[in-house]
Amino acid sequence: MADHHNAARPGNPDPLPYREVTDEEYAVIAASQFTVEEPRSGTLILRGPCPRCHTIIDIPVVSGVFRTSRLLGGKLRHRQQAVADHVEPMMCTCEEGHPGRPDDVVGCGAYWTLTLSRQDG
Amino acid sequence: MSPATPPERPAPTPTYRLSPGPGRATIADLRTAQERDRMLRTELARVRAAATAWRNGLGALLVALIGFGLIKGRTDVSQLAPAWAAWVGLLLLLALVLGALGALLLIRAAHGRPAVTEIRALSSIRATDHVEALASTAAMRWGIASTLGCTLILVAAVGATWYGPDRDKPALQVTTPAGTACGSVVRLDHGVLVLKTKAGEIASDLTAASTIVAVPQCP
Repeated sequence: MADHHNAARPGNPDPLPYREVTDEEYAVIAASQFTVEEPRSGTLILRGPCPRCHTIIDIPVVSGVFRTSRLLGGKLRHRQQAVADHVEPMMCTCEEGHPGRPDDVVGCGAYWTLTLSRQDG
Repeated sequence: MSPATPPERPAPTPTYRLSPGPGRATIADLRTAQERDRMLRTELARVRAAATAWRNGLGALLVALIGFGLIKGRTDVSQLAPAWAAWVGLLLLLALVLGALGALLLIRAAHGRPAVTEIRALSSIRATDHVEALASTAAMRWGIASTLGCTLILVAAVGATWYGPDRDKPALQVTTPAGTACGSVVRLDHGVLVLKTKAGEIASDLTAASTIVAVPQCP
């Protein structure tokens, strides 16, 4: 069960424990509250409060990422393409302390998906 | 009077609309998001490490090439035929430019661009790092291409220096009552000078010579 109704609010001294949890409402909240910036073609920044722990997070959505094995064979133009319409899996990326969180991950454990639709003009 | 041309409109800026994804997210979506997040967080460091490795590797290749060039062969460009010497000079200049450009690009990829960034531009550290990683990757690719180009051109220049034709040797023009002979010296024996001319070897008695002139090239 999602616990966004009991989520830690700003100013609450008790951090939520880390839990890998989702809820359909997470996507609804994120879709309504997140903003989108495009600092460069092919790179978007989605910014807003995590639907669970309410920490302001920013999530880069990029069309390509560096990989050594693709260095010589990769297509340089690929990264310059605009991010097309697609479903983006998302998760909380806050770096606040959440008890029980594994060492190699970030966030509070909340995840959801958003559909990004490009609208020219 | 022709009608005024309407000013060009700037290209429309795309905007993005967010809507909830189809259906409920799955644990696979979380793992995908975690993997992408991990890739982005480590991207710039991986680019820097790769650029450093390429810089060191290509530097070693160039050092090895210089060592190879010292093994054997002609080392003085001035001994080459003038046209070949000019081409070798051009190749060496091109190799110098490409080598310097490649080195600068690889250093830029490995260590970043020394610049001050406007604080307003730092809206997201990870997005900024990603943009820098892309720029560094591009610099690395061009740096690798430039350095390899420099290497190939250096090889061509060394090859041309080794195997290019000799510059024409200075010749002697000797005038005797028997006529004028011009060519390179073959031997001098008891006052008789043997010249290698276009018509073959010609012996001239120096005691009867009226003039002996050194010329850069026979007429």
